[in-house]
Amino acid sequence: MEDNILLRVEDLAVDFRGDDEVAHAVNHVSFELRAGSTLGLVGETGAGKTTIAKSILRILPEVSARICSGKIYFNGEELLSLSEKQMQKVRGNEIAMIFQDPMTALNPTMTIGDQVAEAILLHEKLSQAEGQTRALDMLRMVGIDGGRYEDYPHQFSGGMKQRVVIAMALACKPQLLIADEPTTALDVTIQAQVLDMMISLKKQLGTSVIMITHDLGVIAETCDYVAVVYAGEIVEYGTAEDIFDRTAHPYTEGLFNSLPSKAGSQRRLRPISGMMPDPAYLPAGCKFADRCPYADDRCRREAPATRPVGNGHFVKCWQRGTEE
Amino acid sequence: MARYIVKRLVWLVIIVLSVAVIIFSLMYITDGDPARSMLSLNATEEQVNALREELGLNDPYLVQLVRFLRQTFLEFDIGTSYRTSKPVMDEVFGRIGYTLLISTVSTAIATVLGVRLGIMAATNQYSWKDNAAIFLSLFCVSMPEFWFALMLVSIFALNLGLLPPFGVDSWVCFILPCISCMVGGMATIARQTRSSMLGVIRQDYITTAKAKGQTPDKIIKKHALKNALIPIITVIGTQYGIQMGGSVVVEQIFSIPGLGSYMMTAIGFRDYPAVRGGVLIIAICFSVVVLLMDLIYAFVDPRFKDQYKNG
Amino acid sequence: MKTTKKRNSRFYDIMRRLARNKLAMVGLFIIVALVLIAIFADFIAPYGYAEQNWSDAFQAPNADHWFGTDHLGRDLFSRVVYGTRYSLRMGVVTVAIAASLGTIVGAFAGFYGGSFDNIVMRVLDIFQSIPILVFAIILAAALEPGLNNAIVAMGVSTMPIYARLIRASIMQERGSEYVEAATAINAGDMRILFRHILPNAISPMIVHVTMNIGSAILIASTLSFLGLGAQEPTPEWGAILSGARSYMRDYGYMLIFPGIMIMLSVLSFNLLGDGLRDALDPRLKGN
Repeated sequence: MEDNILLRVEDLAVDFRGDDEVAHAVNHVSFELRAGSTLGLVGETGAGKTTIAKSILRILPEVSARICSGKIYFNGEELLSLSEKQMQKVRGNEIAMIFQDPMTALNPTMTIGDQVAEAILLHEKLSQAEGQTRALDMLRMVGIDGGRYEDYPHQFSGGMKQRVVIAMALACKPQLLIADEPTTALDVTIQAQVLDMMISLKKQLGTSVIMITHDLGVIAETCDYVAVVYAGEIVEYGTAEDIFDRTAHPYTEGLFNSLPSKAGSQRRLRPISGMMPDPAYLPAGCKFADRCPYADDRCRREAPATRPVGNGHFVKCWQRGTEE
Repeated sequence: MARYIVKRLVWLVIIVLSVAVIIFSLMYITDGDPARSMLSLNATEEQVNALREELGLNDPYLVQLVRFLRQTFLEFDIGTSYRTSKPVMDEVFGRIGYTLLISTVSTAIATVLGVRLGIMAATNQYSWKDNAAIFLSLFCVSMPEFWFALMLVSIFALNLGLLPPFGVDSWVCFILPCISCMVGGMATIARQTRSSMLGVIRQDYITTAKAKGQTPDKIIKKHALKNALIPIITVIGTQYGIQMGGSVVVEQIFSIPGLGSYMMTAIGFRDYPAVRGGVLIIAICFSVVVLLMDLIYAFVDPRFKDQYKNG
Repeated sequence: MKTTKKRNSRFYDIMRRLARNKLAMVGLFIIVALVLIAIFADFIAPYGYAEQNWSDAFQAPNADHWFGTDHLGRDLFSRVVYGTRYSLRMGVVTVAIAASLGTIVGAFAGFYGGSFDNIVMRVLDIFQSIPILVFAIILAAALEPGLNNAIVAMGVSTMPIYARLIRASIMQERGSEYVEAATAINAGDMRILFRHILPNAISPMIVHVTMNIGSAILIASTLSFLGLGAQEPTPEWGAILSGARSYMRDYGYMLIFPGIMIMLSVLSFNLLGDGLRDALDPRLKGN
């Protein structure tokens, strides 16, 4: 089993230093990703999902962000201890990332073809012309006409731009693809197209994926494993079936309850009341306690440990799971 | 694109015409009597009046204005200098070379140094390099050009004797004038480069480039700089205009027979045709530079090209 | 009530950010010092600014004359101290003229938009196709050389900067909800312009005003240096330098202090302006 682990994150913690406060964006997160599988990171905006992803690639803003603790093993290699030079060889080559907003993720002064070719030429010893041919192939693969190689980003729609971003990310056939809300900024009709394309490309190339989203529908469609992120912590982790069918954490419950049911049941939506705590002023106990209908004194006093609720299904909650 | 250029050229002509009208009217409104200042103090009222008649100064405003515009734009004759009695056109073209030389060279050097300084500051934000660059450029923008020029002359020419204090005899004469012109521009360009680079560095596509595995050096050169360039180009264009204006000061201090010193002398003598000619030429040069800068936008940023294509 | 409280707290935030910016505070300190020097010049200066003493001419800096004396034996320290008054006044009044003219022009252009705006902007284009210094020189020369005329000349020639600034802010604010709300309740044009739009357009103005006081001092001293601004025996710094220039070969010390004072005062306004910009828009500073 161990050999199958492509990525293992251990005890990762990230702080952001502001003017006069420190925001604890990621608080001691650990998880694993099996080769060939898809892990979903689900949670509200600001929960720290993107920060986790950027920590893996080490592309957090240098001035304000600091990784305070943790280890990230990728293929057995510890990424946080690599030199910046070594890390550059990992980025885009072995681990690639797709960003949330395709409107701003592409360089407006460079042709889309060159932007894809750049990713290829950085990591493979090819001539300029060979790189361009490969880039052209990639563009065709994501459904963009080769004649548009010389076009600039502003000449494309949002959905088409996201295809370019995907082509760029997959150009070097990375082992791990981190997709940060890849469909959120797109029109609903385009979302499905882009998602389907990603799923088929993943199968075709055998890429492992970390899918970051706040959309449980996307999770259901793409993920094998799910980590629910709340206030910089993973509050529940399990297979997609665990999460959907054997929901354990009250927060995950809340996420499902705030969704309109597809089956057309007449139940009322029950959105989670309150707001996520300010990452600069996190409570001492369970971070969800203030919004949790089951919370008791212990929850408010003492931060919950990670406890198993089933085989490979964990929850960070005093009310659920069993003592180890 | 061609349509855009034609449109801009037409606009340039309108600007130059309007500048001509403004300058003419300004000179007309002022009380000074060029005819009197041209003659010696003991000239009789009749002599003065005769000269006024000869120069057409007794005609009504509109007649004079139309005559001036017709001569300037149809006959390409800016008039005859009251002071030297030579055609202003010849005099201006004889002198403009020095002014253009100094403004162009100093703007070019200011651009190269300023952009480098600004990039260095932006890529090392909050470090000592950034602070040093900020401080240096703040000092330079705060320094009066004429004072800096005087200090340079005092130190390098008068005290150390390394460089000539004035004149145009050889290229070494231009070192001090160019340095004095260059410093303020360099600082302004550096400040603009820094702030516009800082804006671009935070953009998502820079993170994309980093996520591709691009090196920091190439990220700056290939991705950031080109996107930060538009406001920098604008500042360079403005700076060129400021240099041409500054020629008035620098040419005075270094006794360079350029357009600036020509205009200052003309102002002193109320030599209206000469002043008008000088200002017109400067306005034309400046407008052409601004137009060139706008055209450069299209090469830097494809979005401008599309905008220009649409008219 | 609620809105005033909100505005106050925003104001407090800005002031707090500004107070923490060391360079801006240095700038503010120098400005305050300059203002005090200007006010109390009579007490600080040991001699009158026009007081001539032929036997003391051309003295290098010494215990009696800290900055030395000029060709007429006037005490340069006293002249520089009095000069603070003129330079500050020229800077402030110039910007006041430019900013008020510019605000009016820009506000009407931005608010009424359409062809009126188009014409105004094209006229400003024309004015700006003459470099500011050249334009100021021409105006100053046309108006007869002198301190006040130089101020008017500089004010008029820098006016387009403000007009553009205000216009741009207004264009931005115009589409915003509170203007639509005000239009919906049928508030008059003037009322919307002065009560709703201008207060919101003002913050980028403050930064420019601060910095442009610095550049106005710079242009003012240049005009005086060229003989088109303050005239003898007015101890404006540029004018002092203009006089000192003739003796620079042998008495270079005369150049040093007036120049340093110009630089210090311009620098202080630039420092404060930079600090204000960062405090008003913290996004520009870091992430």
